[in-house]
Amino acid sequence: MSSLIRINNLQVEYPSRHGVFIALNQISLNVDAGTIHGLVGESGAGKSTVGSAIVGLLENPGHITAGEIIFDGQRIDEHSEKSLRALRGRSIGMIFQDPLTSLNPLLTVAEQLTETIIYHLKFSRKEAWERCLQLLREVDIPDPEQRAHYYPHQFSGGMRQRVVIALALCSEPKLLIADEPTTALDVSVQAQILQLIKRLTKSHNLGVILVTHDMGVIAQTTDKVTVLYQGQVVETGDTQTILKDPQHGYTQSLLSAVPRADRKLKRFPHASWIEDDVQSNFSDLLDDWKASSVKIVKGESQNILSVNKLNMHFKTAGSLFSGASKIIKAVNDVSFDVKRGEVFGIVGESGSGKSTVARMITRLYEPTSGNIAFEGESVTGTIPKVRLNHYRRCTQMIFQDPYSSMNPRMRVRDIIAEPILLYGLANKKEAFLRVNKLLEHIGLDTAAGLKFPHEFSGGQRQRISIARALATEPRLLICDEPTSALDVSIQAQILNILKDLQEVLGLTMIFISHDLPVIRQMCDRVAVMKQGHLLELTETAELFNSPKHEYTRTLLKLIPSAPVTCDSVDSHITTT
Amino acid sequence: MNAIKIKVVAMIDSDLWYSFKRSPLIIISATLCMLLILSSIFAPWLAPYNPFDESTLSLWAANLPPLSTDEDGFFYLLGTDNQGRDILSTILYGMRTSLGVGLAAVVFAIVLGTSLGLLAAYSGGWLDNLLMRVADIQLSFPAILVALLVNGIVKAVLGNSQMEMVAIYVLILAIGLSEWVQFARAVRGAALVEKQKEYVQAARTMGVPTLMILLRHLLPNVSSPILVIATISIAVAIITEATLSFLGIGMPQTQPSLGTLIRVGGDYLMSGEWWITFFPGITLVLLVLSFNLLGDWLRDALNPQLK
Amino acid sequence: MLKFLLQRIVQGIVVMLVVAFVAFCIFRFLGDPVNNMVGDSATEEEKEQIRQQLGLDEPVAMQYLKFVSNIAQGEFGTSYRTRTSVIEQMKERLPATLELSFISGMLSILLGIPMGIYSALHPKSWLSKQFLVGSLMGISIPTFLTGLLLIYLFSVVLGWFPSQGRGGLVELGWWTTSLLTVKGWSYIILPALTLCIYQMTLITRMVRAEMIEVMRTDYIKFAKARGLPDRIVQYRHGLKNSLVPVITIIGLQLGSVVAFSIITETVFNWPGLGQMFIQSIEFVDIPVMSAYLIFVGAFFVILNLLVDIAYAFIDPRLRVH
Repeated sequence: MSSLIRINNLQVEYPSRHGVFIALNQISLNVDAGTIHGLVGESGAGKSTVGSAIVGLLENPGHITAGEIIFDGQRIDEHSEKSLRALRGRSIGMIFQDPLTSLNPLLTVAEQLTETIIYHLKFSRKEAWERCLQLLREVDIPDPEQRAHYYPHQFSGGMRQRVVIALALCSEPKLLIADEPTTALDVSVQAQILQLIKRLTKSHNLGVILVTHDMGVIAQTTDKVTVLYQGQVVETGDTQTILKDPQHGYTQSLLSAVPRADRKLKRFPHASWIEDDVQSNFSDLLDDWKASSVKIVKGESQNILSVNKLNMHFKTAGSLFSGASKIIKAVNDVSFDVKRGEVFGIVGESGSGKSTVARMITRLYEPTSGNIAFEGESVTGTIPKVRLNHYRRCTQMIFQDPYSSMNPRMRVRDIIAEPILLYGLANKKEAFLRVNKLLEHIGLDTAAGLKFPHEFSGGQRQRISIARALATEPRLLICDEPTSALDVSIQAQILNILKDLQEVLGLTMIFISHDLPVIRQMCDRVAVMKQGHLLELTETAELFNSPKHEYTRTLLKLIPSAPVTCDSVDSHITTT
Repeated sequence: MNAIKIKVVAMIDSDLWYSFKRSPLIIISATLCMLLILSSIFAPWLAPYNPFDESTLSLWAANLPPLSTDEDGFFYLLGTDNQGRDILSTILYGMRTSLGVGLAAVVFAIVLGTSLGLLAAYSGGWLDNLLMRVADIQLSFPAILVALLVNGIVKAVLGNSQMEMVAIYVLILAIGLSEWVQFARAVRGAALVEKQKEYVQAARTMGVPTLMILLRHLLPNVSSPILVIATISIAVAIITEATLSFLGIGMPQTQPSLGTLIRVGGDYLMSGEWWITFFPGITLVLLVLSFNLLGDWLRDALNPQLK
Repeated sequence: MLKFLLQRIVQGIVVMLVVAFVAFCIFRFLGDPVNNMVGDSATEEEKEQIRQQLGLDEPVAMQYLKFVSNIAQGEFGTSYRTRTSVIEQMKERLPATLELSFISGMLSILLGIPMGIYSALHPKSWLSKQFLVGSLMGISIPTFLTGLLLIYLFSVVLGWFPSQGRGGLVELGWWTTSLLTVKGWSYIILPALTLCIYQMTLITRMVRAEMIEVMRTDYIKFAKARGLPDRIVQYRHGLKNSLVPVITIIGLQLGSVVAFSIITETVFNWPGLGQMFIQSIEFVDIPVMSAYLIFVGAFFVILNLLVDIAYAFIDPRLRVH
């Protein structure tokens, strides 16, 4: 059977003044009608470039320098813009990542659908309207007669992505290119959209290229998969085969880096093929910690932090006219204790209030009511400066986005030294010595101290921000989604560092995440939050094995099915 | 030593320098800009005559066309004005006023606008609201009108005679006050974005004092829009100064300024004596144009989206 | 939508009250209004009489209220310089300024917007580069210089148009217009062109910037990916979305036409409100100054209101929730 689209040795280059960047290096790909072909890889793999190259929408100054693309028996990489446009939309549909920005905010859904239908299929206005309704019905938009006249902002994120899919299907294309179609959506919505794409593939006999970074999505949805690494194909074949028996080292480490929800591993397996791998050893840092001036004040109290009936209410900005401003209860009567030396997890979806809790603990927000006590002493409201400084020094935070958590105009050395100097823990010279020591511990050389943050990769930056958090020899580390902005292999690396730190230094950690498998790997106890309420607080294993609360059960059900059975990966890791 | 070396390398390697090197128009306009600035700084040495020196003025030498020599054998490259002043010299001195007032007014506007913008962004709440409403209202009035009004008010308070003595400071104040809003709004907008970023939150969780957060963390990160607006603002300030002087409410007639010179020339335009207007006019346009070109280029070069 | 507009109207009223307050302060606290209104020969009793007439012995808040209610009734006081009613002076000069602003505003919109759109859509074309160079020149030449240049060219050298004043007038009730005769047009054409050039270049540049911004958004990319032709992508999607910011720009620009008419009117000796304002500053004629301020304030508030109404028509996010 001849493929719907065949890509042979495609090369895409971006010339710049720093030299030519090869985005795609000799990649080949075959996609058959009626199948979903996954393109998986981490950032910089070039997976999105494939889709753009097919439809001729490469961003300047990128261009195809070699290879061919054969669609439906025709060579299209040499097509002019005009004939490519005829193909786009007509025979090839595209779906982008963010449904919020993919739709024109000033036109109704019906207007956007009918204009595309009329242009491609030359229908009359009435026929186009009929087809518009039929498409909306097909992507499960309830009550399409009415909703077609809605503007995009009147739909929820998931509904908008359905509209986007309907738009891509307007003229019965043969090929659909979906670029991270569910990344911007909540877990529960993600499952539905993927289900929809699967169903449409069969009913329309579509060929689908599904670009994603998520192994779970690949496992759930695709028939075939191609793994990309830095612009090259490392492995391609049936999804099931590759997941069960990955041949290439990169695929193996990629799979092993995916956190598992089924059981807790001591560490993530050591993976090769990822950005400069660090073997961190923190044991000699322990002496610093022991010698540190921070003495544990009330020695043996078991709880390092107690949170008692915490409430946080935000007022929406009330204008002169809308009368009384609304009050949003972001956190509602939340209480918990964090034991010394444990990793305490807080899990929840967006809007659950988990980050707000972290911000109250770090005193970014002042709670509306309730109390937080550190080592038995209250740290909310106005407290003596000595106690405040002691608390701030003992509690450090690691932020979510390594691209924005460091001042881009400061050198790494100054960034890490800032808290040391701020609390007067050392003079400048000693502080820089300590910075160098910390840099070595997180696997960077001392020359890195003179550079600016933008010269580092995401993983390196997150390591720098760990170094900053360690600079004051804290007792409690608050990690707010510390890896959600990172690729999965880098995530494994960072999580390993955190595990080591916790183990060697006996740090207490509050670990906040929306990702249940990550929580499972990291935490001793977990609190589940939803819309400002704490629903359930229990041991991690207990939570995963026998969840008490209905909501927890739903969350657990929505975890994308594990891409692999445990043994296959374990065996490969031990053999490599 | 090492740090300096890194800085130099970073400068030469920077995208800004690269885009500078590649655009001949920008190199020309930067050179022109420097030339004009230098020649106005060194006006007393460069100018063939001193237009302030009453003794050299003679009405016999008034309104001479370019390239003419008067009875005493003095040569006037660009001709003379109605009082017999050498146009070239007057232009050089006039440019001094224009640039001086323009730069001082913009510095004043930057200091005022940036501090208020940062304050508004960081404090939020009613202070932010108040400052921005004031800015909104002022912004709906064009800069020239605000400058006129400030000028008029000061004049009403001081009276005409005192006004002459402080005219230049009033001009700086008036133009500065008419432009601070631009800076305040841009800085506030940029600072609001930066404030949400985690490095500012990190500094806050550490307990870094507010003033230090503003100066050490926020200010350096909102500096590019300030730079761009400043360059364009200098151009606008120079135009505003010239306009006010042209309207006869800026610099007094006795002091050289491009605007007053053009005003004088305007009266003689009808009788065909074009050079009194033309040469100061062209200088003014070149000055403003070079700043506008630089500003345009800076905005594109510093905007990461366009790359 | 109704709420939105109501909100804007109230906001406009607040702005007007603030402007009136500034005007009031200028009037009340700059110099002594009484000394300015009576001659030097006036006796203390006469002064006291005027003081009471003006209500200057009442509390300041009361005076402000009175000031506002006077304005609302069209009572702006008497000019210190000409000793005539300010409102009469303004009524006489209003048509000149409004006609000049209208013609040049129209010109700059009709020329500026298409040039902006064209140079945003075809950034590499020769014509766009000319537009860009032209617009840079345009913002670099001060309005008064443009005026002098046009006068020299068309009045002195070519002798086509008169260089000073307003002529060929036709009276329509209290309104005098120069738009009904050829002679009238020959007077208005140079000042209108002068006023238009700077505004036009600003509009061109801003429209271009907005349009480029919109053409970079995801929904434009998605529209292209659906294979829609350039015509639809650029005009139906691109243009419509850039209209929202463009309308703001135009609103602001039209406002500043009135302000820049101050300069043009001086250059061309055009008998409008701007000229009156300049004279009032020269002679410290405070009632005229504050009256002009209120006029400009009202003009801006009305323009902004119109802009907001236009917004609500274009942007469904304001219409439906």
